[in-house]
Amino acid sequence: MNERRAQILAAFLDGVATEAECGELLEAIRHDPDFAQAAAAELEVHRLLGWQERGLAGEAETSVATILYRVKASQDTEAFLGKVKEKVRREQVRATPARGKRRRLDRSPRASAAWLVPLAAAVLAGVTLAIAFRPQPAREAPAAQTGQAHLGEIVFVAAAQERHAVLVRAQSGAQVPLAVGMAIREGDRIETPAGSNAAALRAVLASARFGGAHLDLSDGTRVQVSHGPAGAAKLELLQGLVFVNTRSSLAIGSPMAELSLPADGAQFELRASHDETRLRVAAGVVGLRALGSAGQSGRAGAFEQLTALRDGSLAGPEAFPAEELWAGRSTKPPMVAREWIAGPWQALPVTAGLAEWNVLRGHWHAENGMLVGENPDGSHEGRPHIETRASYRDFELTCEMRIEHERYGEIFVRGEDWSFENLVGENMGRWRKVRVLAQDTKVQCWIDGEPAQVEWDGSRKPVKAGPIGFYGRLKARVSLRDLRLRTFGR
Amino acid sequence: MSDASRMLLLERLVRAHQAALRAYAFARLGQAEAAEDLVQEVFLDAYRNLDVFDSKREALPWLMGIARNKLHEYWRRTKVREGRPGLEAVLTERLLARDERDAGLIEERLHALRACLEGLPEKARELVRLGYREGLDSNQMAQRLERSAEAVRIALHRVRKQLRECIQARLKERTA
Repeated sequence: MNERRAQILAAFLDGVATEAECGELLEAIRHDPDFAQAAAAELEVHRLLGWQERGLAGEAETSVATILYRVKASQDTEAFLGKVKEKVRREQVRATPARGKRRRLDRSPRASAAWLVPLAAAVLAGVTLAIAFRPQPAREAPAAQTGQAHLGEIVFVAAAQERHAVLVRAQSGAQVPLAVGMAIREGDRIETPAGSNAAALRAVLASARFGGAHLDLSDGTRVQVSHGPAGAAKLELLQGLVFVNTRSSLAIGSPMAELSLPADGAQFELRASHDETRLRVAAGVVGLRALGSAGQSGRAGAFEQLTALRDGSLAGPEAFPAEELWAGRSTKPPMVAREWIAGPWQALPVTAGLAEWNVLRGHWHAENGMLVGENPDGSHEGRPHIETRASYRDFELTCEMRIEHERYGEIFVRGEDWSFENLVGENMGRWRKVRVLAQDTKVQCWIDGEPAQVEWDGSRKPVKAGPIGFYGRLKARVSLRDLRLRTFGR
Repeated sequence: MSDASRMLLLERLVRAHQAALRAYAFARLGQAEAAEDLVQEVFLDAYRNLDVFDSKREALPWLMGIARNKLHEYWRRTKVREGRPGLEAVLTERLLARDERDAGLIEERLHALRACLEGLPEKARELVRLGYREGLDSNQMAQRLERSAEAVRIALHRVRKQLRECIQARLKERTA
């Protein structure tokens, strides 16, 4: 390889070759097979070095999970479309007049009906994940008659260029809307009509440039997928509400704000309206930069909210209850169970005033960073009992706990909905390592690594957030240290 | 085959071969995310065609074949989008043409590369570390090494050439 060609090739691999230089190499490749082979081999070494040195092979587990997720999601979609196909077939048979010639389906002026023929055509054609069709112009519409009533109602269509995701609901009373996953690509603009009965589209972004992110779009939401920085795709929420669950960083923003995501992903809700963009984070720490005069930026952690206002200023972060975020979503539960995503570990502060704590009974004080509760007179009313001021629903807590003078202590979870009893036994006066893991109705506790028996109050009330409490019997002296906690979202 | 057993079979295939496929896709795309995406699509196709897959055949060449078709398609589309054949597309298509003969060698190539990296002189190793592990461009490297950017690029070219020859020699040794 001559010097000049080597220089240009090296510049090209470094991303700094000019168009003219690239043209020169293309010309050389055409006429010099040896050079072509050497250049191709060097490109391969260049890429293999990138693969090797950037440690990309190491992400095997994530990759296996993502691949299996996508296959399963497509299976759900195919199963659903199978049902739609079957239904449409049945209804078409019914809508076919006796003379044996297929009657054209009706198109009513209602927006939903305009989708009927293409839906039937597409479904019958066996097109699966991405249904490619264009609604035909209205000239084909015949007088109102026939099959539409049988077919039921298309309650929701998400359209992206030529691909559409469709939801059908039979009028016969099948009330549950069905969702179809849709691959979204660059240049797509997706709208979910306001007032559609179908709650949301669960979209599995096909473009891995979105890191396999899962998005739920609520009613009346518009998003645009465009070219982002450095050749990556960018998702812009124009209006509405999106729930995002991603395992990696992705480019996302709104007309009023830009988001920055941690490389290992996050779960959050982003809401855009004409005068503000609101970010609520369920897991991870997501940054929000308000665009505009001030261009402020802030960071929202798990269960914190930041709001970018129209004037470029930023409000927050302010905390909000975990359940509020998920209660606000209008979608049905996702087709595939979501994994828990943990927030960062945080110490539960023990300060002199016990500001973070709510003393229910007994005398409590802070002592060398320890939380100590006593009951000097041993009265029933004075037995030590304390709980966090904050409420937690899904969380993991670790600490060390010591109970002296008594053989009985308890830990309460979510108020007193769950509790772990008999934590002392033969271990009176000894420090013991405690770990509590609460996720939905699964609440577990380990003492020194051994599972502790859980007591549940047995009522069928819904799982809700509540304080975490510590309790000792009568004259017990309860000491707690190294209290650490992280919350979960999904 | 029931859905459950199809899924089980697929999971086995994914676990066994995703590493080779991802490395291969990256070596023909040069972008990590596009490579991940392509591998996902390979397994989607594989899943849809599990019934026609002859379980007595080796799975990796079959999966590599699917991947190769998708890579051809990717670069064809890239050329169409850009309106002309770019340098990267042309060079990659040459690699893809070669793969018709010896695809599946990717893991051997990577293995050879690792051995060859160990044999590099310290200065060359440092260049690789800065350029590939830390992801510096030639200007940043030039500052760090107090050389011109052009000199850094040529030095990197020499290292790649050396590695290419070393990999070839090692592969030849193995097949001999």
